[in-house]
Amino acid sequence: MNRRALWLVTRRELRTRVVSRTFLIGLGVTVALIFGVFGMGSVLGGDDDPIEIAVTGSAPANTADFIRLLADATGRDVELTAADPATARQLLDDEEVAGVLQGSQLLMRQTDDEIVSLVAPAFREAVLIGGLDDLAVDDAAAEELLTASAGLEIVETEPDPDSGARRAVSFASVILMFAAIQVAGSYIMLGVFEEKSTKVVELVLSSIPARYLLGGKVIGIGVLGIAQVLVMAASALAAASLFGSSALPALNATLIGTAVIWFVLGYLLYGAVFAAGASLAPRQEDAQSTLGPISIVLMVSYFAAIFTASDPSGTAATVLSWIPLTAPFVMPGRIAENAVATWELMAVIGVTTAAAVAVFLLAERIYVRSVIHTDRTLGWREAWSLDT
Amino acid sequence: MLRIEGLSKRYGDVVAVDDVSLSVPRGRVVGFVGPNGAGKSTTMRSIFGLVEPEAGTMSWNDEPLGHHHLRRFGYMPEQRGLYPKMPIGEQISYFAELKDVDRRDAAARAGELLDALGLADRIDDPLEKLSHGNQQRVQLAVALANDPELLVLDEPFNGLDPVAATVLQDILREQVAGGAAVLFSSHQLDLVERLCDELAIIVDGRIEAAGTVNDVRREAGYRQVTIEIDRPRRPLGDALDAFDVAAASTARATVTLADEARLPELLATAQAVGSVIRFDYDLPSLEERLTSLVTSPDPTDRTLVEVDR
Repeated sequence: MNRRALWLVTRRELRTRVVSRTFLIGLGVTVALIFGVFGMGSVLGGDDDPIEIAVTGSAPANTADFIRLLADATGRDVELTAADPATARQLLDDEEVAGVLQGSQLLMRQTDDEIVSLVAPAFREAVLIGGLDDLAVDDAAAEELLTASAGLEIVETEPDPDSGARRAVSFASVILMFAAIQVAGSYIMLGVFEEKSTKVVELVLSSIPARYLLGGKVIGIGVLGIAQVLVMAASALAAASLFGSSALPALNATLIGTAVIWFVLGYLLYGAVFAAGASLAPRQEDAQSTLGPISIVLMVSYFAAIFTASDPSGTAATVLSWIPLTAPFVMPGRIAENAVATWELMAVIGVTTAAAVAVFLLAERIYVRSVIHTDRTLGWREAWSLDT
Repeated sequence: MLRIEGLSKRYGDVVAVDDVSLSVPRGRVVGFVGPNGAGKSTTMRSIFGLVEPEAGTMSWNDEPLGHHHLRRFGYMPEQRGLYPKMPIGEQISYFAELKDVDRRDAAARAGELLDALGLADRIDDPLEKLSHGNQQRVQLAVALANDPELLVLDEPFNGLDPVAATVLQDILREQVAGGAAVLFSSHQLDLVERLCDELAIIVDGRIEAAGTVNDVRREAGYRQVTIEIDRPRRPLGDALDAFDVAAASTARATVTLADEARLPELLATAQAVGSVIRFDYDLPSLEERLTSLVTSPDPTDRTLVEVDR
């Protein structure tokens, strides 16, 4: 094992790509895109909008007035709509209002402390004042009133706070994983083409064995790919906290960690095959026949994963997790959805790792045999049985 | 010393190299001569493991050749090629480092070589910004980057301008003076004659002649006699019926003489035609030697096929 040769090739790949304009522009565009998406979301559902609450007739009298009073006093903007219970519920489901005050219930899609802090005191005041005014005051009645006033029951209509956000993360993770693997794979491919078409491969291989050239290239571009995944994740986190998006709770460190693991596995699986496919042709123009099938497999896996992304806990997604070609795309979404048991996660990682290593070794065999042939396009089978 | 013994390689039905044996001692320049497709590149590439031979052994200083030897060798492939976007200084030191030269020495070496090749001010330019001729110089610098003990150059003078060719000759002499072994192939026989201590002629995958330039010329087994007559009494060509005449006019003839014992007879015949003003007796030139080897019918009747490597 010649670690120095491996490191030298890795270093060259890193240095060449990091200073390359395409890489930097690509990364910049990705970051801008992520910030753009979050920023847009924040503008559309911005925090400066008034707090919209529907109040039904069954709410204690004067509650609306108390809410307005409290809002004015604390400098908050509130918009109240009177509605019957059915309409109010519809408004809530359509996200037209953030809360519904109905009898002694405050309905919200998810608990929003800002609404609670506005409605709960107003409700209490309304109940207390109303009760004390209207009724003969005896101790028992007063106590009952006080108990009732504290009895605002908070009801969540979509109890899992992040499910919508998680679903979005599931979709986004398929797309970003595909983009990351596709980009890294094409870097490998273009690198191999460059070395073959310029014939520099002859000189490199007169110094070090082919497997170090492949290894260094895969490691170097892989490190860049991981960096890219981390930059994507970090910008998503930064943008989410900057714009206060509701996707924030779903984007945690565990998710980013698993994203890196799945990127590495997917990258090993596809990257080495891209290298082998590219090594069969003397120039990029001649690579259609060898690289076409790989691109098709990648696309099919991607679309299969997209197809199941809306239901990460479904059977289709579960089945695709056990297929190494699709696992890297499907798994991050399923993990975000909490749809994977630990044993299953470990088993799927095991299966995919085994497949990635096996495919890598097969691809290495092809690459090592074919990369030196710069005169014509080889077939997969022919390259397999060549002498080194 | 590099020693190749019994090297054979075929591509399908095409014999590229057939039982080739060749030695390149340290401190010597060995020229490798032959027509295109004769097997020069295949032989050179197999030294670097770029061709897997079917038979034959190779050794360096009596150790069987292995990957660990490559860091002591320098190579200029027939198919030139470097990284187009990599700055040339970085490029030279990268290839030096691939051959185990440590980083600082590699950078220093790159500077020295570019200095010697007149490219010192271009050290940070990417290769693709250089003219074709200057790219060839960088290719040469890369071959020399690790100060190699064995230098293998495949057609190194191809694509070099006359100034660079002179620089290359000086560099080769320097390398050899420093104890390096040099093997280079060329079609320019005058260069081979001038530069090489030894040469090997390869035709159709076989070594047909090897040794010093004079050995190879002598091995022909014949001499070339050039005769000139003043005021011939009859055409000189007609008078030489009994000899193998390569070229003749009335007053001048070139005779191929296999048997030295016939020299007096030849001289007497010429003198009978007129007064002999020139009677040169010399070995055939390298070019004549090569031409005769390439065109002579092949006893083993192998198919002559052009192989590109």
